[in-house]
Amino acid sequence: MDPRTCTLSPALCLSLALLLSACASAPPDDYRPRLSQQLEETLTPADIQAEVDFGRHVAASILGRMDGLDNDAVQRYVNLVGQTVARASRRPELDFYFYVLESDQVNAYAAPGGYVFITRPALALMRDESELAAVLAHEIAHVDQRHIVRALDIGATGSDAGLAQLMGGASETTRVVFDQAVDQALSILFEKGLERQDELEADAQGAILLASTGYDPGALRRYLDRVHESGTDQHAELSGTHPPFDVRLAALDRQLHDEGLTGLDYPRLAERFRDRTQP
Amino acid sequence: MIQTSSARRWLTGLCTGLLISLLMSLSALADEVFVLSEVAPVLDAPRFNATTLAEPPKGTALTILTNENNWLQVDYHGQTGWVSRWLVGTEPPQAKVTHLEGELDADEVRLRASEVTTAGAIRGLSEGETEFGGGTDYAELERMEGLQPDPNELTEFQRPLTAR
Amino acid sequence: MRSIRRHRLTRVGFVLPLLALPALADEYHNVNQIVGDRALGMAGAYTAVSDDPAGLYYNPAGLVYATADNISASVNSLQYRQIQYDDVLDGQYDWERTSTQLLPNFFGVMQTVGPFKVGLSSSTPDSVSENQDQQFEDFGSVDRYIINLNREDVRYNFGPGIAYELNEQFAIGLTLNYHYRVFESNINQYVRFNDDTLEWLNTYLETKEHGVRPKLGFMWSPADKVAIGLSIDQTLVLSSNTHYQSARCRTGTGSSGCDADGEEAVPEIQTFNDVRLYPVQVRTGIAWFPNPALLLSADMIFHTGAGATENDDIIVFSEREPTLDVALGAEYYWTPRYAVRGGVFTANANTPELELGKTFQDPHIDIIGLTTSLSRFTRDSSITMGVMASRGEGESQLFGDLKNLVQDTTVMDVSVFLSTSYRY
Repeated sequence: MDPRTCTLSPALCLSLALLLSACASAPPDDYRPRLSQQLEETLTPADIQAEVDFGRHVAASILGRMDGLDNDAVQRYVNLVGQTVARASRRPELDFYFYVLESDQVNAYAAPGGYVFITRPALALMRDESELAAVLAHEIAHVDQRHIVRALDIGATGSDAGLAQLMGGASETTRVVFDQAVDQALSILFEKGLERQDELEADAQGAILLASTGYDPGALRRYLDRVHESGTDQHAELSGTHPPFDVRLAALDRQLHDEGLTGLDYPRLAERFRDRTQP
Repeated sequence: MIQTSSARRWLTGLCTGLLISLLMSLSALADEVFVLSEVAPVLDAPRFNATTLAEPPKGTALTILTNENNWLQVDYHGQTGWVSRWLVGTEPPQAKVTHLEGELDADEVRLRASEVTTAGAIRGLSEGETEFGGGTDYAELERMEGLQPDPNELTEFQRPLTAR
Repeated sequence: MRSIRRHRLTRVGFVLPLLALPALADEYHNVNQIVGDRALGMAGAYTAVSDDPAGLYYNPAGLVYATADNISASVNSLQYRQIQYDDVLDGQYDWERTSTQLLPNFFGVMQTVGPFKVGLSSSTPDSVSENQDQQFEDFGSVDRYIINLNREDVRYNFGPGIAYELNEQFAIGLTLNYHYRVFESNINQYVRFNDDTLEWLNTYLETKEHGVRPKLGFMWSPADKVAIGLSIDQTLVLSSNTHYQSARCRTGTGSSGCDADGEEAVPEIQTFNDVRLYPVQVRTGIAWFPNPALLLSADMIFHTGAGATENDDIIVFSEREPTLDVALGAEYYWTPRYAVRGGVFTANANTPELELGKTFQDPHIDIIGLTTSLSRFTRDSSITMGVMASRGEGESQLFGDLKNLVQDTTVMDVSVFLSTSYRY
């Protein structure tokens, strides 16, 4: 609690702030959602088509800002790893695409519908194939759980129906709303980030995607540690759109332990990674 | 005491009706999830390092028995095991949906892209510029979409992983 | 000092003594109807949960944690209630009063407006309707005794609420309810004695109240997966209107028509505008969310006492003692689509225990109740069916001036409820 923004009396605010900072814990939004909220919407083919077409436009917009790495061999390799992990996703109706972007940031992005991006500096920070798989798995999980589509604020009737209407609409109004939705998606990807709970769930599903496709499920943990230690400007950008590292690491450690994901001795494939990313 | 005994009858009727409807609803409470992942091991404990009992194919309906954190205890062909909730879903798998196909559709998207920039202009942005700038690059997107590996190459690539 | 809730009806020979006006569970307890959708299944242990429209009733601060921008919930219940007084007449005849009512238990909507959650709810925190139609023959000096009693007492709350998240651990909320209560009672009593004399009584009592019920709520998350809720409210009656009228008649052995006998026979409507005093309610709750499937919650519900309302020497509304009640609830989702809930609650009497030798004592019955419910979910809706049952044993003094006579009293209540909830 920042006393400057506090509307109560300063003394009360200060004491509250002290009291509350003394016992930091996971926020209620992390533990209050109940199991029933895991139920999925019934999506119609039109909803999915709208998600793909919308995501494709968002992807084209991302590519309007950043260029791809001009190295087909590396691009193909990243695709092979991505397709391998995407087999375990719960969206068999989607085609996933993977692409390495030229950028000075350490980051990865996923547009709705299956368009996954990773930056070259992020790739450079990785030591093995399982770490690449881990970052791609995290992004696949965002697509799988439709985080961006859900975060869009389209209409009053829910994102899916809203998106389908938007893609089918031809009026000037729907075009304006469509444009705003694309801007909103880009803003989530590059500035605001998703809900903290969404990031934690993407981490959680990512570890399962790795384990079930045969990669070392501890890879994301190792990669995040290294990003954290690198402690550069890139780190600031990454944490601006993601939960604090200690929260993510703690949640990952708990999951790896509780779900029997440690000591599995699944391959990391460091050699193949080196061979195919460093020409 | 006519009134009293009718009240008792009413109460008995109510309780019986309630019991019957509860029993009926209990029998309808079997809840299912569907395997959506290509790989979804059913394990003998809610841990990945447990023994794999079965690997039901995509689309298989599994009856939920109970749950524990991110794991569901399910019945699969009379076998009781655990599956991660991240590999299954409450709706059956959907048929493949691809993005708009061919040149015609790409034109349509380009058309839409120009409409979008028009819409941006309405909102005070100059032509060809959204708030995030840069516009769109569909040519590069098509390069991205063209990178998908062929199935044989993918199978070969996955060999070191499936060998475990 | 006399109370309008009691009326003298005596007879030389057999004494048909002072008949206290009906005493039933609601007026003498602070915990009455348990309102809400999930809340009802959890016996009202909801102050630290409150993350849906029912929060408007339990703890408005909880609205901050609602998991959808818009939620609506509606609950209806079918209630059966029975109260039995043992050995009321001639040491052997029991009295029994029953009621069946279909109640709009709760309706609430809420949505996100900027940084606030706002909502509107309508609830029925208290309702009883009761009925007694009994005839007794040939006991003591009485040839025939008939009693008809009808009574309705309903409290409605209706109003908006707002909640604001101060930071990740702390939220605050306010509900401002309009309070409306209507009470209506009719009693007819007919006695024919063995000597062919008659005695009858007709009493009518009606009270209508308008007021406000502000409620302030706080929610705190002191540790991971734990929430603590606190809410404080009081009903403040702004205007009240009570009408009372009693007509009675006795015939002498030798005369027809009502004889004077020093007793009034002609009714007169009396009006009181005195307001009833309500206790302050303080609810504290703690909830534990160990995982997405399980939720355990406990509430402690404290009500202060409330003073009597008097008009000259007439007690219009009698005094109430403080009470401390407890509610415990659990919720378990065994699949994403089904959840079961259960709870236990107390509804302790806000009256003193009865003592022999005293007159005009209010009933004292402590009640314990159980609730259970079953919900079926889709992503955006749920339907819930549940049952609530409660029972209490205690004592009443039906004939207020018989200082050495109290009746063992048993109250039993069974409700079935149905509710629906939508998220959008």
